[in-house]
Amino acid sequence: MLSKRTWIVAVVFFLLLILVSVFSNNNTPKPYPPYLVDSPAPLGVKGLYTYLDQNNYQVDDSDVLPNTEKTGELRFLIEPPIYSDNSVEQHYLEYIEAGNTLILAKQNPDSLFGIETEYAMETFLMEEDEVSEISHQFETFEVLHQNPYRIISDENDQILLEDELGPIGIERKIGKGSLIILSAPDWFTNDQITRHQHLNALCEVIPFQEAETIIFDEYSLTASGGTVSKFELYPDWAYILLVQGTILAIFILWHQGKRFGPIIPVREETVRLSDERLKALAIWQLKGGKNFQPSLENQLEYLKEVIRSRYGIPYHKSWQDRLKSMEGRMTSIPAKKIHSIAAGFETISQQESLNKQEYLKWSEIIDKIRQEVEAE
Amino acid sequence: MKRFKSLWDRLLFRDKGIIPTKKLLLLYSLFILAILVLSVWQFSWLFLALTTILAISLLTIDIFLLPKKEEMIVERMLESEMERYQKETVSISIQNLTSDNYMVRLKDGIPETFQTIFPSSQPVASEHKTMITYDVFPQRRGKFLIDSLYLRFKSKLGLWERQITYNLPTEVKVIPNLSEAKRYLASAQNYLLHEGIKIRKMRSGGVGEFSKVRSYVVGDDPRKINWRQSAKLQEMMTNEYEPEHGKYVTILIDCGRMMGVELKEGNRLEKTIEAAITLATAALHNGDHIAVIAFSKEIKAVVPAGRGLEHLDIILQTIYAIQVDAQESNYALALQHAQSIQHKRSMMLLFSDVQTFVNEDHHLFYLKKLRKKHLFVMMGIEDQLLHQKIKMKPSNAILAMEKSVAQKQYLHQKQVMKKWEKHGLPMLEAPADRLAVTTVSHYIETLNRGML
Repeated sequence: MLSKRTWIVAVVFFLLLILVSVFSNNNTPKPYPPYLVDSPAPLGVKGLYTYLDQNNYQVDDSDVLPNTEKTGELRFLIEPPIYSDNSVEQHYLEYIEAGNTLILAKQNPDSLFGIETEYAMETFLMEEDEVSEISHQFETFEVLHQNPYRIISDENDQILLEDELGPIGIERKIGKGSLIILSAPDWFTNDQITRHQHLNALCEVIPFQEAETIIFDEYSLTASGGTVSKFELYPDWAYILLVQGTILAIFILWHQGKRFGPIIPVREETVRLSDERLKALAIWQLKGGKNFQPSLENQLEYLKEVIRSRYGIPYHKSWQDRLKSMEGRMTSIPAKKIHSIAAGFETISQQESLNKQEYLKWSEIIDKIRQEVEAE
Repeated sequence: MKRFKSLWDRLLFRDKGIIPTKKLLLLYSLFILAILVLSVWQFSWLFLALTTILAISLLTIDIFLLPKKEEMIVERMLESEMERYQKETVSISIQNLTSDNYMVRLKDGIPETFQTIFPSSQPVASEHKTMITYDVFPQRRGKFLIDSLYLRFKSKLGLWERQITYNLPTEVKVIPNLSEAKRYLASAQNYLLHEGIKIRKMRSGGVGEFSKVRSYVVGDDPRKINWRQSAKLQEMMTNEYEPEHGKYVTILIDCGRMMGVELKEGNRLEKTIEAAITLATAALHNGDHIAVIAFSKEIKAVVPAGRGLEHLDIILQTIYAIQVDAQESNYALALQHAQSIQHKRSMMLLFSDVQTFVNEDHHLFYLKKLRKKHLFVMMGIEDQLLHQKIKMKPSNAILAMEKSVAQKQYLHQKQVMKKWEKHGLPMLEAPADRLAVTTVSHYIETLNRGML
């Protein structure tokens, strides 16, 4: 048997070993965020960059905001975040208005630069890697395009690319410059640029020749450019409310939640009523729907007993005689009616079956007489 | 598993710990309001963090002023025997060993059938012994263990409360309500007044035993004149007789399913036990022997015949905790057992539900045999619900059907009761609150008639 102490030492030693091995072994791969120009990863855009560079275009990458002057630039914005800092978007707009071209390639460009998109359900029916055809004016290209978002264009926009579900790329004139929107950022990547006719489509749509310089904008790709810190997004009082509200909530829960007193077990169901048997019988008898007559018989029997104990009229007398001898004593039932009631009693005790209405009517009459007899 | 559970308890600080009070919540809310207003001019995360930490640490200073468990000596005092439906007082003594004054509120671990209102906020003065009392109103009979006492102390600042639990195990017996028995003992004649029964009816016949000699009054039986005494005292004297003492009474208490029926106050068994105790008191007071058998499917409790009022305590201690079983009662077994412990002729009182008894015919067979040796009476509680059903308005089919079933049941019951009476096996029904009186008066009447 090993002592407890030995065990503890062993466990601590083992944990130490794990910690040391985790911290000493630091050969993690170099991270490449997507759409970087120097990234050879499948999601990088080094391919396109090098291609343009080797074809004698003036290519550059930039991680600062552009000047808002006309420089004849063509600027790529690939998959930027939705800017929470309004001034950044405004800055890009001014940049376009000055006479530059901005290419916005984003999966869903909705709410950036006032663009709206719609959702095309049909894309879900497409198989993976299914090649679709898109058209540019009169040409068609075979591309991979499974993005469900389609841009909503207005009449001033020039549609560059579209398929049967809607526009994929449009050009919008803003000020002196233009904004080209492409909802297919995948085509730029190292992985897909040479597949199918992606490069052809891009070259057809994007005016590489007209540009003096081509800039790959990495302002918001590497750092948090254009997005405001979560700690500055809301007004001050909201943060105070959030922090203090959390603390207050903890206090309130603490105050309310601490149990004071014994745990009270749930009371066992012991309550019983003496009429359970009676109720069950009544429901059972009613179910057949044929027990109205025997039930009335019972009520009449009880009435007989009540009358016997009150006036001493024996059981064997007929209802006619019985009610007649009580004639003067009943106030609520007129004397004329007594005869018909007695006749009724005699017929219902002969009758084989009764309906519900009759049953209720006679039950009420019997009860009325019973009350009358017992009241005196 | 058990160790894990206790660890879990410790982690949750079950039954002990500190709790923020309403005052603290209020103060903290005010603080929030203040820095909200302040944030119009000045806001930074550092400022927010610093003020919050400062505020919380200021508010938590109070925790160190709270008393510790060792600084309070707590005791609970209560009666070990309580009567059902009788108010009893529980006192808690708290001795404060510290030099600070505190406020305390408490909750005691009494069973939930003890109705009570715990005192809310009581001062505990420094270096003093404080008595806190609260009333309990036990609703159920039985043996209960009262253990934990939960206290929450508050200092003068009152921002935090410390909850401390003391384990003070005490056993409490809740016995049946004895108020009827006490009323009988206080004045038997008053107790039975509205029944119109004389406790000791003088019999002029040869029945009973000689009790005393008194002066002759006109109307007395001349055959009872005590001539020897008349000659001695020079005055006409007559002998007086009264019913014999030393008779045997066997009480059978049914604890079966139907005795669990709820009444306005408690259930049938409660009322039955109260009636049985009252009858036992009356009989023991009279000098008779009492035996008690409680049964349901099996025999639950047996008290062999005994006499003298001390015997009442034995009965009480034996039957105080019997409860209703969810089973049909075995009458044959109970009667057999009664016969086996009671060889002398006795009055057998069976407390049960008349309806169940009536619906089975074979009881008659062995009761007829029993009757040859013993005097059998059955006592039941009138079913108020049945009478309500009989008299209700048949406004729809189901109500009318219920009514007719109730009426049929009632007629049948009456018939059977009559039949049994013919065989010398009387069945009595009384409303719940008059069961004890009816039972005692029936017993006295039986004695008076010299039937036993």
